[in-house]
Amino acid sequence: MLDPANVPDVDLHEMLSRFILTRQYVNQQTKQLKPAAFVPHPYEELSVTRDREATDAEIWTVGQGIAGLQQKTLHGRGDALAASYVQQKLKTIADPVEGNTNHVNITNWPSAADKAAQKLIAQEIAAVAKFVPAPEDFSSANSVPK
Amino acid sequence: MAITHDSGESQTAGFIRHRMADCSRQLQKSAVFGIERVIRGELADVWEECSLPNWDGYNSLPVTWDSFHFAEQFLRSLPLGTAVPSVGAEPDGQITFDWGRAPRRRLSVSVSADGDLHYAALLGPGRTCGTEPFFGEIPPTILHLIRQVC
Repeated sequence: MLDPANVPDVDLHEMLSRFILTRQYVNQQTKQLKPAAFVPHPYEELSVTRDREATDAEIWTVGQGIAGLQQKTLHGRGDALAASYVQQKLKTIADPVEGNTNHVNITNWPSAADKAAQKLIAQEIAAVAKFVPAPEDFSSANSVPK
Repeated sequence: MAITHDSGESQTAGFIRHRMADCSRQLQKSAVFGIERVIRGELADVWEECSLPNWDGYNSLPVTWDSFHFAEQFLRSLPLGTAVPSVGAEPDGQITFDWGRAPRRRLSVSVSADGDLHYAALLGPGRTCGTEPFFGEIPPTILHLIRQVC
């Protein structure tokens, strides 16, 4: 994971992961991500985790920690390149937090009052994002971070 | 002598009329069954899983009874033969219907508690979004988009 004292700006080629904590955000037949997984409501920004200087296990551990705090099951993550967000005129802002120095905020969304515009951008991200199911070790409900 | 299924009086015409009526009944039953299956299955699952706050782990709002009611009406208003959508919810508590499988041939329609339909569609190289009111009939704009992505 990144050194909190030295967090670079997000590069366009970095993979950004949106943790999926509800099966409602995945089409159970096609295993495609639904646009709802990428809608920022009720916030102004979308919370994701970058893969820079992080192993796959470290990324999953972050997701497991978030799921544990929320008492949810970690179903998987939706991976999309930072460039995919920037292409939709969004901004990728490094925002290290305690427990996740690789945390990133996706900002510059249309206002929540323009619901259709937010949906369209979420639709675009969902079209290019890949759903990665959580490995068994990380997907237990209410699991405690290792 | 021309025989039509509408006005012919022969046994053949009667047989054809009977078979067509039978097929129409089967089609209606299957379409109605399909929509009923979605209402009793996926829509019911959404209500059960998303009617409490924070159902998505990111502080989502619960689906309300009004949104559920409009969503059910929307499903029952789909014309015979319309592709059945996948049902879900969004973090603002609105129920959504999704059509299409190809990455750039997809439509998503959200039903608000006020009866507004917010839609977004990817149509190959193009895309569109907007809002239509729902007064008990599916707006032509949305029907057209469903046909384009399915």
